[in-house]
Amino acid sequence: MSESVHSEVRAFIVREFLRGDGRDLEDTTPLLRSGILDSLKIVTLLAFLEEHFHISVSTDDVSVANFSTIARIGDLVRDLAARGATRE
Amino acid sequence: MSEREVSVRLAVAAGARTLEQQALGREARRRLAHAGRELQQVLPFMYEHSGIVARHFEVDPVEAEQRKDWLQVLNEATRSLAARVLTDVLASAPRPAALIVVSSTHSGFPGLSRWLQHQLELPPEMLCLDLAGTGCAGAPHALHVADTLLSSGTPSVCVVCVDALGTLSQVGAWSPEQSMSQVVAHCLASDGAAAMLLRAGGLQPGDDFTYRRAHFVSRLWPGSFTWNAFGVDGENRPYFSVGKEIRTHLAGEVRAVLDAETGASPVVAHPGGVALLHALEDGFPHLRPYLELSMQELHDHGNFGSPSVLRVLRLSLDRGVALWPTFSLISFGPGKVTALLKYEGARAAR
Repeated sequence: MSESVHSEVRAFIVREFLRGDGRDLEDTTPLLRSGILDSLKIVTLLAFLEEHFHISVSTDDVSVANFSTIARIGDLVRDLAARGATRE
Repeated sequence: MSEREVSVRLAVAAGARTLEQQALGREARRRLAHAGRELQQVLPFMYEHSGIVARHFEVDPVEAEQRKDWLQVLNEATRSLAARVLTDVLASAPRPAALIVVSSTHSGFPGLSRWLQHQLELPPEMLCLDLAGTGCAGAPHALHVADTLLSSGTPSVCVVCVDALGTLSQVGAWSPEQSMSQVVAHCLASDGAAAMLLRAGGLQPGDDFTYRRAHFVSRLWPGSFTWNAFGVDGENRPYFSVGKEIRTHLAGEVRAVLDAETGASPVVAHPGGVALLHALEDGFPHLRPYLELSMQELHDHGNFGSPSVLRVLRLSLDRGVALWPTFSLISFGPGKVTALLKYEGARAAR
């Protein structure tokens, strides 16, 4: 599931925040430091994650660490799914 | 004929109450419990991502939130801070011939320069100017005016930059109508002040540095008023909403000013936010040692508005950073505007 989650998150970020140009985007690219993600874009990304992966992301899970890279976002999605944190 | 020299003394002040950003984030969640799920969900992230450890408030935030006379609250905070920093910078110095008071917004400053003149018993003939609504770019603007006055024969000018943006965030931040970007702006803000006394002539005891020439440039970013909102709400409370297009345009706009003015010389930059400073670091790697000081100021204290760039200058002076003989102050104001003041022939007092 992990690779699939990563690639789907990556595709969303490239489409929504990078105008389709993901040439320099790796799973370990620092999304916050580079400005690819910020507080406003996180809202858009959260809506996608919850809708697409049928998970519920709690306030406590929305942290700088969890959204620092695509790899970390993928880990969060996988963890929430394993914990059964699904949308009502 | 010898070239003119201007001596400079700088004092800074922060709001009397220091509160941890984590605690302020928890408080914001409580106050915005009525807001939509999106804002609730991302609020703690905003506070964590701000990169700020603590912020300063001249008025207790709980008191500020409860009081209905929000304009009075702001006025009390700004008067108190301005009087404190002005008293500090004028200690053992001759009274200035002119006073310029700078604020980011229009709020809380009815004739503040004249009030300070009265309160501190400054000379009745003193020239008093209030330079309001200049956003965080107020300091370079005012220092340019000060240098112009000095050039035309005024013997000394004191510039006071004072903002109670932290308190403003407490009296205006909790309405359900506010946008996400307004909440972001509020979570950065602190109350504070800075005062710079400039006098024609060489160094006196207590001065920080001298300079020989000052050059000012300001540039409105084309189209920026369509990305950003700088206005007032129904109660005349100012608000800021900064568009994300800023990051896209920042390097090019700043380069248009920096390349022409500063070359490789040091730049003291306004600590407007983590994203802004990272974008400057990426665009101008040679400025990293100086931008680290801006980042340190933001991390330790938050964004004070117009005094912030002078607080970074104070930090640079205290750490013995070599700014000499040419350095610049750069700040950003409503629109977006880049304001840069370059000092040449500058030398440290010690």
